[in-house]
Amino acid sequence: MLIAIIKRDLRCVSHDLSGTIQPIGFFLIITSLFPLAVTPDPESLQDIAPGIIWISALLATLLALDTLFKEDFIDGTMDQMFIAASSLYVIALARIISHWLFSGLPLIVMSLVIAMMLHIPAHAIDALIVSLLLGTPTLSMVGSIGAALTVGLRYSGVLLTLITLPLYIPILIFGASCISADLVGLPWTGQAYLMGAMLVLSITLAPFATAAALRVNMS
Amino acid sequence: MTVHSVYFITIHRLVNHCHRLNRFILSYCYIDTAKPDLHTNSQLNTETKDIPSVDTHANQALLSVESLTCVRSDIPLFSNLSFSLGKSQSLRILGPNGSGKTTLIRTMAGIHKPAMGQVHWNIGQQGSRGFASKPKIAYIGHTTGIRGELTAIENLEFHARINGNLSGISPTECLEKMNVAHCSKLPCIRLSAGQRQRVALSRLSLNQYDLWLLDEPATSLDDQGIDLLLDLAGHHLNAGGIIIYCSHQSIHYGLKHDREIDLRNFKEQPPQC
Repeated sequence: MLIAIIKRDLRCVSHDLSGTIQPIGFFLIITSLFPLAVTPDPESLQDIAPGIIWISALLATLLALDTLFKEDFIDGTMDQMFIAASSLYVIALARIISHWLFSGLPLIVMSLVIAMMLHIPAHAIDALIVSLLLGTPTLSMVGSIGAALTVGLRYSGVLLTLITLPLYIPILIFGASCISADLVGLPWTGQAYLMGAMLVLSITLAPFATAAALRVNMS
Repeated sequence: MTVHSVYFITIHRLVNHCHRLNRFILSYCYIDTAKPDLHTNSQLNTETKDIPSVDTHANQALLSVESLTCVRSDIPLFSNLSFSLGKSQSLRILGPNGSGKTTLIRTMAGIHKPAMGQVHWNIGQQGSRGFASKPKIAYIGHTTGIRGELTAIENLEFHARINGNLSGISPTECLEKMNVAHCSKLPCIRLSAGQRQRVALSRLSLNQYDLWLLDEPATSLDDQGIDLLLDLAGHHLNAGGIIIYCSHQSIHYGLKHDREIDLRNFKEQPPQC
């Protein structure tokens, strides 16, 4: 069931790329506008780079969240999956995994290019990648709760943002501070451990909450 | 001593709360517990209540609904609805718009929870169709469950995979049965509404389902499509399946129905004040 849903999503993405390209394009646009608007000076760009990368990653994830369950819900696939599956938990988990695969993972790859553009030195790349690897799945997990709660609404964008953004703040703080600590040569393992803990917590609890929210919206 | 007993009581309460929380979470997340109404009895129910048996197998009710009451947005739709169906039987649900036909069908599918009442499945080892413990239900609703980006064949493959395709019929054969195999390579968003409905209906032959729940299956189908659907339904009934359907169109002239339920008869009268 889990694999079947992920495979189907892969097929959908291979037929229609527009949904996947949108958040990545958004990420690229925001990050490339900062040097133009603020300053092209390498020193000051380096100072604000962690914040830029993390804010744009967060907003790009949020942009992709809206369609997490909505398409399945509108075209009736959710009903079919619910009848066929033994649990909504599996459906929620599968959709979250494919959401991360198609929005989080490309974002991490793109962030390497952005790091060059924002003059992040090579020694800080590992902190950048680790923080994004630990942080973006957490964003998908936590965001799925909001997406499931607002799945029955026609225009859920603003409400979804209001629900999920406060929950995103800790990830934003530790993710950005992970990179900036490495930039100034301080140890960054503490932040990374905390982000790992948040990831484990969200993997354990978020699919349950998402399944419960979907159940409420279906009946 | 007192300190110990206080500890003991606190821990005992904590464990109790955890149990309750656990049950709460499970009841929301798992379909098996979310639908406490789908009991699976190991014995066949030999008595049928107040329902005239139509064929000889019918006294073994496979599916029985007991005093079902459904409420949508605080409006009671119908109450105390009871019926039972045996092998190869079909039931037509009648009622004007808004009388709860779709709600009844979705409740039978387990999507809605009934306010009161139960849906029983009497699935025993004796069943000649080799029942699994969980009833296999096919549901065709107002929304087709067909993904627009995917081709017809990919859609069917997905449905076969999540349902555990046991009958071994390939998706192409299923599409041929509804005569839409010629557009199996096109993304479903480019198909017409009738063609999409045909693709949705070809899901019915993917598996040996125990129960078909058809909610207006003839929507946007042409005459040939309706004939093909009637053929499939006839085969399904001959193989011992059950059909519950509602339709305003002429499909019921062709599809035999052993029983009819008019939901108007089960509408609760508003209290007189």
